[in-house]
Amino acid sequence: MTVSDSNEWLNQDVRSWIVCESGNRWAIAVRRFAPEIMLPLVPSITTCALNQVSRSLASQHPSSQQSGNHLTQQLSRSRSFSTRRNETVILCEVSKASLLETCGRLLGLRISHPEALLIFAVTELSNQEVRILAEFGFAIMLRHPEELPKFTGLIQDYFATPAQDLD
Amino acid sequence: MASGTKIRALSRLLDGSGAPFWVIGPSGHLVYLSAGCATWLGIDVESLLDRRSVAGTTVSDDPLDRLAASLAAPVGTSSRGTSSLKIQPPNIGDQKPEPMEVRFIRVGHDALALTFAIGGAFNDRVVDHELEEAVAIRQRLDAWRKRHSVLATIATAGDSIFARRIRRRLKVASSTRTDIGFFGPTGCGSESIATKIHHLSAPGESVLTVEGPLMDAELLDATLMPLVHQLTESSDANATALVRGLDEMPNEAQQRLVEIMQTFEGRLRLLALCGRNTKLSLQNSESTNQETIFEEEPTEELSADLAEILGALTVVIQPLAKRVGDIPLIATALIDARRSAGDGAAERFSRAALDALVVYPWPGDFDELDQAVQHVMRRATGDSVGVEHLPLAIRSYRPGTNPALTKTRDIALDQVVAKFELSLILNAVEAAEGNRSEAARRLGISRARLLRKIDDANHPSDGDDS
Repeated sequence: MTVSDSNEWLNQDVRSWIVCESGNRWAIAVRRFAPEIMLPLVPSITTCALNQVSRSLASQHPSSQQSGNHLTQQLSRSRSFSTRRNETVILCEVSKASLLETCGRLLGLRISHPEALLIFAVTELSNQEVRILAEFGFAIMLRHPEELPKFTGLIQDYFATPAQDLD
Repeated sequence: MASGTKIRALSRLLDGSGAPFWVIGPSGHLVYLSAGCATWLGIDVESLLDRRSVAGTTVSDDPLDRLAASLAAPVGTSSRGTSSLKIQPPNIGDQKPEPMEVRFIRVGHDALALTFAIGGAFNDRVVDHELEEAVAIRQRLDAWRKRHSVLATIATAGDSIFARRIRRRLKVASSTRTDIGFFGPTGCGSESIATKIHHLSAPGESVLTVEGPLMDAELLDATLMPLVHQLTESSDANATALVRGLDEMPNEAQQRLVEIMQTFEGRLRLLALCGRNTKLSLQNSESTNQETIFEEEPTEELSADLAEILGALTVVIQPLAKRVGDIPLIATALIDARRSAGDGAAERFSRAALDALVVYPWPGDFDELDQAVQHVMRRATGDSVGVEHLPLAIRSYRPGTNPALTKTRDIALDQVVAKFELSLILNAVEAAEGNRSEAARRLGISRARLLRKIDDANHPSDGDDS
C-alpha cells in the first residue's frame, strides 16, 4: 500500500462542500459550522463560481475516472459499496440581481448532479422569488449563517453511510 | 400676523428646476403650478388655476376640469398628512402625459390647510433589508420580554431548544424553594441567573456567596458562620448559600457542607454553580446510576451526598457556541441594557457585525459577549454597530483550522485501522457476491469473526464498551 493509496483511503472520511457566492460570508460560516455538523466526518470546503461546480466536483471525485493500481480499484469498489458516491453539499448564494442567471445554471447543475445536497443562501429575495427557487429542489434555505447548525440532523442523514444498514 | 419672505424667488427656482410642483388651496382649488407641470401636461398651466382639484367629487365634461381633478390628493391625505399616488392625467387633445409618481403633503390646519404636490422619482420606499432585520430581531426581543417578564435574564434569551429548556427549568426553580445545581461553562452567566431565581423563590432570604475551590472544611465553617448563627438563633429562619465552583471544592469541604446542611434540615438552601463537565454520581445502595450533565468526558465530580441534594433540580446552561441562533437576540438585549444604562448611543448591530458574532466560538461564553458589547458601546458613534467596532479578537477571527479536529484525525489509529479492516471485509464480501463464508475464507478468518466485525462496525459504541 503506497502513501497515496493510504491518503486516498483516509480521505474516505472527507466529504465535499462547495460554496458558490460573491463574497466570503457563507464560506466563513461553512468553515465554522460544517466540521461540527458533520462529525465524525471531515468537510473539504472549496469555493468556486456556480458555473465551475462540475469541474470542481470532477477534481474532488476522481475515482470514477482514474484506473490506477489494483488496490486503488479495490478501494474504489469498496467505497462504492460502503458509501454513496459523490456526496457533496453545494451551498449557493442567490441574490436578486443574479436570480435569472443563477436559475439557468442551477438547472444544469441539478441535471448533472442530482445527488448533491443543495443549500440556497438568500437574503434579499421576495417570497415570490423564493417560490421560483423551490422549483430546483433545494434541501435547505438559509437567510443567515446562524441558521446552518439547525440543519445538523438533515445533513448528517444525507451523509449517513449505508454500512449501518448491514445486518 | 407675521409674514414670510417674498415667494417670487422660490417661484423662479421651482420653474428653473423643471420639477412638476403644484399647490391645492384650502378650498380645494389649484392655486399654483410650476413650469414643470406645463412641460409634463403639455398645456399652459395658467388655464388650470382656480379649477377644483378634490378627489371623489363630480367633475364637469370640461377636459381642463377633468385634468385638474386628476391632480387631486387621494382621499385620506387630510387625516394622514401625507400620501403617495401615481397620477395618470387624462389626454388633452393630442397630448398624452406620462404617468408620474407624486407625493402629497398637507400643511396647516383646518380651513387654512394647503396641500403641496411634488412629482418625480422617489426611492424612499425601497426596503432597507438591514433595518428590516433589526426590526425583526427587536420584535423577537420584545416578544421574549413580554412572555418572560419575570424571568427575563439576558443569558436565557432566545428561541433555540436550549433556551426554551433553560426557561422551563427556571420556571420550576423560581416557583419553589429548593436546592438547585446550575451547570454551565465558565462565564455562562449562571450566577446572575441563580441570584434572580433566589430572589423569586425566596424573597428577602439571606444569601451568602462561597468561593468553592478556595474552601477547606475549617474555612467553610468560618465562611458560613453568619448563616449558621442566624439559623441557630431562630428555628423559623431560612438562609441560602450560593457556592461558586462547587465541583472544584475539595472533598473534605464538600462533606462538611453536607453535614451543615443536614444539621438544619432544609432551612439552609444550596444554590450550586458547577462547570460543564461535572458528573453527578448517584451511587447509593439502591441505585448505580451515574448522570453526566454534558456529553463530554467529565473532569469534575461531586460527592454522592451533594449529587443527591442537587439531583432534584438541575439547570443546564449550554454554551453560546451551541446556541448560535440565540446570539443575535442576546447581543441586541445586551446592547439595549447598556444603552439604557447610558453607556452609549448604539441601538443595533449591522448584519456584518452580527455575522462576526455568530461565527466567533465564544470561549469566554456569555461574559465575553457582554464585555464585547461594552466595548462596542464605547467605540460606536452612530446608532448601528459595525464590524470595525468589535474587539479585534472577534472581528479578526477566521474559522478553518480547528486544531482539536486535526489532532483527533491524526491520532485516531484504532478507528482508522478498524475502518480499513471494514473496507477490506466489504470488498471481500462483494467479491464473493455476498457469500460471507466465502469472504471469510478469502480473508483467512472464521465466518463468526467476520460477522462480529461487521456487527461491531454497525454498532461502534457496543464494541467500545466490550
